[in-house]
Amino acid sequence: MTTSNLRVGRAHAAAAVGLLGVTLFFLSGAVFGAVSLALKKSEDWRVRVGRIQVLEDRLAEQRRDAVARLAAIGAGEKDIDLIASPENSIEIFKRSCAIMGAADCVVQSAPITASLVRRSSTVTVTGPLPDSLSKISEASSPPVQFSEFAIRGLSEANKVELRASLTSIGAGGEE
Amino acid sequence: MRSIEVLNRPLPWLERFTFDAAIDWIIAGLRAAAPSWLRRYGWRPCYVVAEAEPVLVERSWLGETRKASLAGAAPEALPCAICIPSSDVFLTTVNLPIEARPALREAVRHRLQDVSPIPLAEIEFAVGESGPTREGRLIAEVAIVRKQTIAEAMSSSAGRPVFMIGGGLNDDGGFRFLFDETESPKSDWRAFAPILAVLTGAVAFLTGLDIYVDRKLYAFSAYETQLLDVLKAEREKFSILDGLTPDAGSRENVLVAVLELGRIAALLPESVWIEEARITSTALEVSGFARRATQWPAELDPAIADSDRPETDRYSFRLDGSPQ
Repeated sequence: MTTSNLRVGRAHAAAAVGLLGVTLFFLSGAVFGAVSLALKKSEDWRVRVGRIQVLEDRLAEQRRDAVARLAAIGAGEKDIDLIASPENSIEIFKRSCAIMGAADCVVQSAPITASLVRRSSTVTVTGPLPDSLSKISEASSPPVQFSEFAIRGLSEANKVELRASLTSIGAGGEE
Repeated sequence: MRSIEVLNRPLPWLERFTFDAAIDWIIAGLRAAAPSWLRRYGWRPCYVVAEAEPVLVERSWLGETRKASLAGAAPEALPCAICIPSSDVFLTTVNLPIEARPALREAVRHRLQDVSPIPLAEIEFAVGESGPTREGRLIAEVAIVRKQTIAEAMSSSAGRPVFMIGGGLNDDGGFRFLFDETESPKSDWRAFAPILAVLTGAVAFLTGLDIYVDRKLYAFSAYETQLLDVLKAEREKFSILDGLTPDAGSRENVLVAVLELGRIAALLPESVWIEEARITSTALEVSGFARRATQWPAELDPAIADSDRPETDRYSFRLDGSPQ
């Protein structure tokens, strides 16, 4: 084996090993990159699922809290639009008064929060008891409630005097 | 001496570049650099040498070859190499200038007419080992064989594809002289087929998984934005209730009690007259007058007292319980 042969042989082996090394370097780089990307996406997935869970919990809690507050004033979730609008809130209260046929529907307002007021009125009507009861059923539409109620019999046949207190909580506005 | 063959191989792009040649060149280089245990790793049947007694040649992953027993192998499924018997081969040496090395075969061809006992038109030749002398000459071994001999050997292969014709079978299964060689047998690549299949499958699976994860992350992002919008909208919607504690409102809805009163009023006999009914959040109180000996409904238990009216009693009853 001559020196020239040895030189060529060593160069050949070194080039092949170098090529293999470069190939393995890029392959390992690709594998490392893929694994890093997978780990990053996995972490991203975990974080997003966690954030979504937190948001869902917060939304459910917000709804529960709102429903509890609405229930406290005798309303349901669907009544929020009535409560939030001063005009609607006043109108529905006056509508209940009108159903009761009360001539003297004097509305008294008392603020309970920065936005909400409690409206109340005492109405007195006379007539047959079944008619009065059906009027009460019709007039008692959330958020309007009857908080006190008294019936007195009259000497006139089948007629009673009915006195009731209506209350409602809604947005404050020009009464 | 085999290492000299390897070391003398020209770079593939100097001759003609092909992918197979490049891979062969890299493997040859790795073989020269690898330790012996690695050179002899991964033996697989490669080809069969058709002789009087056929020989199986195995090849390692790095291209080392060795003779092996045919027992258990299926020679008809392997490529075939033909070894010309030594009795049909004329051996000689050719003395050449050292400068002839890069085109050794062509240089030998020019000297054949001086050394061949057979007319040039009827022969094939192969150059074997070559080495320089101290005088700066190059001594090359040359094998000469009749073309007819090769044709007869080819016809004896019984139709099996022959990829190599040589003479002087070495211990490692290679030929000392190579008269003709077509494409190398591809059996070596079959060893990598399962690995390639697994790699391809893995890459396809991971690509699909990556696309799925990307889409899912996009969906998460959209859903998160949607949740934030809903949360903000509902917060604004319910902001009217801020400051309202759950116990701030009134639960005194007496509607249920009113309906209960209506039900009871319908149960009362004609002889009972309601004078007063009072409904609060906790009770329903009813009082009035009833004729004596009135039959009261079973669910009512009124308190009876004398009244100032003839044949008439005063009664009262109370039904407790929250109307809610």
